[in-house]
Amino acid sequence: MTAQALLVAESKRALLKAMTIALVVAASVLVVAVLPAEYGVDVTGAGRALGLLDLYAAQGAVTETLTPAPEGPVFSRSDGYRTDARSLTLGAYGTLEFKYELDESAAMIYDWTASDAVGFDFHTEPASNPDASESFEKGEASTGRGAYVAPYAGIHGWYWKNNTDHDVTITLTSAGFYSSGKLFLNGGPGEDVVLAGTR
Amino acid sequence: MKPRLGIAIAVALLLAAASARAHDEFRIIGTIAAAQPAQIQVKSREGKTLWIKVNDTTLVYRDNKKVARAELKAGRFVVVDALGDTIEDSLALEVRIVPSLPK
Repeated sequence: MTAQALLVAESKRALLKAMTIALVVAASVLVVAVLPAEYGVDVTGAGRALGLLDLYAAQGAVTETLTPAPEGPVFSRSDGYRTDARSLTLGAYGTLEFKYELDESAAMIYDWTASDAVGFDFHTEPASNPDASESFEKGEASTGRGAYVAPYAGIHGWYWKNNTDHDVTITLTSAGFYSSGKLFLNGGPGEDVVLAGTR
Repeated sequence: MKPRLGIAIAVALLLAAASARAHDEFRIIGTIAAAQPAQIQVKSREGKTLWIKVNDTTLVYRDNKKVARAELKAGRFVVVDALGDTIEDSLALEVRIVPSLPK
């Protein structure tokens, strides 16, 4: 064999060795990193250990967009919601009303607790016809919690009556897409109140 | 459409609209100034004197026990829950005879 032939053979071996090493490295990178990150396939468990499976999971979340259906359970709004917290005192046998102004489909959640059982009536005054008041929940209780979606624009809230000969304190907290609050004491005209906060 | 049928429909619609109109609930606290079979006159703590209708559906309580309507006598201090379009034209749903409250 000539010196030139020996050189060619040596060169081929070196090339083959380099190709083999490159293939092994590429296969390792494919199995350890690319498959878990791109396709969620984690044969070795290294994908989970290195957090590469999170990259795969995040792909779907970023790219998918859903628009709420008009009659669906999600009520998207462009305005911020407000929060409110107040303490109201009912004198002996006294009454009061507290209502929030809500647009049609505006939602709120509420929680009230009274220091003694009180008569209550959750009702509305539609903006289009305040005389067409509607009651949705009535009874006697010392607490009330729930969520409410206004069926129409207007003021919506509670009439409370104290059936005892001593003062009763009602603590009300709420959050919702209301624009204002009104307090009516002992059947008198309503007065606007300052709400606690806006988000 | 015959005129009579048209009038009947119009009357029915008017009646339906009137019945759909909501009544307000009022609470009146005060002393009975006069009592009659179908109404009581109450002088409220605010100094207003009102006639309030009572009937067989009116519930009367004393010491949290149901008592006869005849217990509604002049001089008794009462808490009245009444329903009506206005407070001056309301029917008592419930009357509680209670000890007088300090002003």
